[in-house]
Amino acid sequence: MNNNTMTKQSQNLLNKKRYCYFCVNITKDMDYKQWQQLQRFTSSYGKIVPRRRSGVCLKHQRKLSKALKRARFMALLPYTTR
Amino acid sequence: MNTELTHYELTYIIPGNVPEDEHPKILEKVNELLTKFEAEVTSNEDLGRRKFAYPINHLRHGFYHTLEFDLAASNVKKLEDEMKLDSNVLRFLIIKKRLVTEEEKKEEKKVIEKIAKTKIAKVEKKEADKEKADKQQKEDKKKISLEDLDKKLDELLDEEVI
Repeated sequence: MNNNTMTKQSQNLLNKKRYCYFCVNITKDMDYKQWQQLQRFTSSYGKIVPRRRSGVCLKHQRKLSKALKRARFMALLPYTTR
Repeated sequence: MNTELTHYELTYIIPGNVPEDEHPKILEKVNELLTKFEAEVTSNEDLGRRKFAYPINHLRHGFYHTLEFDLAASNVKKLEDEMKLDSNVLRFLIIKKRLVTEEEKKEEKKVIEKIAKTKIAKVEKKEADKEKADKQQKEDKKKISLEDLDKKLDELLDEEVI
C-alpha cells in the first residue's frame, strides 16, 4: 500500500508542469539586496536548492547562486544554520 | 587620457557599535575616496540598521549603505585597497551593475504590471471556478442526501434490529 501511494506521488511531481520563477517574472538582474526573495531558493539549512528541485532554468540559476553568495558575504543570509 | 567608465555598485557596512552621530563623518570619508578616484556618483541610499545573519567580529548589527557610481575600471582596485584601510567600514562589496536607462525602467515597469494583472486574473478565475465547483458539489450532495438518506437510514435501522 505504502509503496503504491509513494510511486503515485512521485509520478504526480514529475508530471507537474515545471517553470522557472524568474522566467515567468522576467527578471534581468538578480539583486542580492533583495534577500527575502532569494531566500525562497535556499533549504532550511541555508543551502542553495538544486535546479532539479526548484525548477529554475540554468541561466537564472547561475545568476541566483551568485546573488545568494553575495548576500551571504554581506551577512544578509547565513552560510549555515545550526 | 580617454578612459571609459563602468557602472559599479558599492555596499558597505558600518559596525553597529559606532554611535550614530559619527556616521556623517564616515559617509564623508567614503565620498571623499570616491571623488579622489573621479567617480561619478549616481545614487546614494541608506538601507538602515539590520541584524546580521551571523556575527562578524563578535558584532550582531550593522548599518548598510549603498552607492551607485561610474568609475574607470583601472581605479577599482585602488579604491578597494583604500577601503580596506578604513577601520570604520566593517565590510564592503563592489560589483559591476547593468546600467538601466529610464526607457528600460519604464518598459520593465509595464511588464511587471502586466504580469501582476494576469496573476490577479488567474486568481479570480480560480476562485470563480472553485465557487462553481462548490455550488455543484453542494447541489449534488443535497440531491443525494434527500433521496438516499431515507434508504440508508432504513438499512441501518434494519441491521440494528436484527
